[in-house]
Amino acid sequence: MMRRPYVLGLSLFVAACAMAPVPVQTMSAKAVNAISDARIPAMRVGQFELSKTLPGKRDRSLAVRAATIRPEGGSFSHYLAETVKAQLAAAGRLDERSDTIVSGEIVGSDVGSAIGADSGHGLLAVEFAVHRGDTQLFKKTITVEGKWNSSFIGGVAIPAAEHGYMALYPEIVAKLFFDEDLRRVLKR
Amino acid sequence: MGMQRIGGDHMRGTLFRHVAQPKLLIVMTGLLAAQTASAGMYVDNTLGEVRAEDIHKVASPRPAQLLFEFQTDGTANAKATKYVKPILSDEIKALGFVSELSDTPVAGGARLTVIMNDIPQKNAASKGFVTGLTFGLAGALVADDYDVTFTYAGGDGQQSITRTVHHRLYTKIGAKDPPPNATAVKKAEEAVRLVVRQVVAHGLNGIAGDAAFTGSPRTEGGQ
Repeated sequence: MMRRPYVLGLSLFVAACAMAPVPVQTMSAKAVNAISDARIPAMRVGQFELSKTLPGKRDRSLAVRAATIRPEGGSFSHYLAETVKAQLAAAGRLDERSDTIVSGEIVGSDVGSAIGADSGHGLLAVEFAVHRGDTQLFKKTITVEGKWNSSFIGGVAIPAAEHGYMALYPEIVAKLFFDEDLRRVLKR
Repeated sequence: MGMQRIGGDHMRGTLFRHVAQPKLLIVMTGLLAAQTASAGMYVDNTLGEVRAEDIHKVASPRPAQLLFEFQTDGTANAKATKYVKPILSDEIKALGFVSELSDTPVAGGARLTVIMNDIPQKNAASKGFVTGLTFGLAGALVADDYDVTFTYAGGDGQQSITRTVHHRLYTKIGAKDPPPNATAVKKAEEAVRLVVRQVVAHGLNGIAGDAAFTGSPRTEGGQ
């Protein structure tokens, strides 16, 4: 009988560690403005995947202390594809029938939550490619990093790491569409 | 007295025995209850409502695209964006500033961008931690400041108009006096709705009253 409260307490602890999946940032003002300003043709979103050089489980979740960060849709590569799609749609540049296709491979993904000012950090690196028909117009690895204040209190550090890391997804989309090489090839 | 092992089976066994003791469970429950029962939220009264005589009504509202992003300390926060966006949309529609809101570009190209940046008090976590350790006796009052920037671009090459509105939300935990000049609210959602309603009213009223706002003819003074 005395073990029941312990089991209940453990269940609450486990529930607290299993955070809800993070929804797609449907409209990042920075990314949408980057796409709008680029005056590029409408495109569709192709395949996004995790590089074979990274452990496959890193596509599904990332550990932060006793918790895990999980994206809506079941994988970070799917989440990235949906983030690109959402920003293109918000900028009026998504066309599922377009022959211009953007795709990507996540080649770097990391999050840390050490204690102290600016000691939380996240990294996301993606090799993006843009094709028109069978022709590859663009291929480049783009990297974004973030830093934030972390805490010795897990209840503060874990959510900070979650949104610090997940904010890199709209950030990398903005950086892609700010890329001068991409803008140049798409205007041809 | 012989040497004691630290950690391992000994420590786990000790922890299990203590957790199973009713007295400790009662204390833990009390701590949880003290923290939750005495928490309260207060919306700062400095901004308040827009006075009736200052309202700029948009006579012929047009459709606009809404871009909204909630940030925490300047970093995009997808979960908070998803939570706040429907509340924000409701308040914008209720004001009659636009005829309809869309997630995608609209005819005419009007776009309303809203960035809501939550700047939590720097030592908020430590204050809450101390309150928990002292069973609520060392109360804490922490503030969240909100900088909300509204940018309206009318489309067709029109000049964009920007207004920034500041607001503040307090959270009181444990034994602590409530903040001065603030309105108590019972639920967190109620607090969010009140903050959003007031910043939207002030931000969009400022845009509607701007001389460069050519979205539609307007009347002033609530007429």
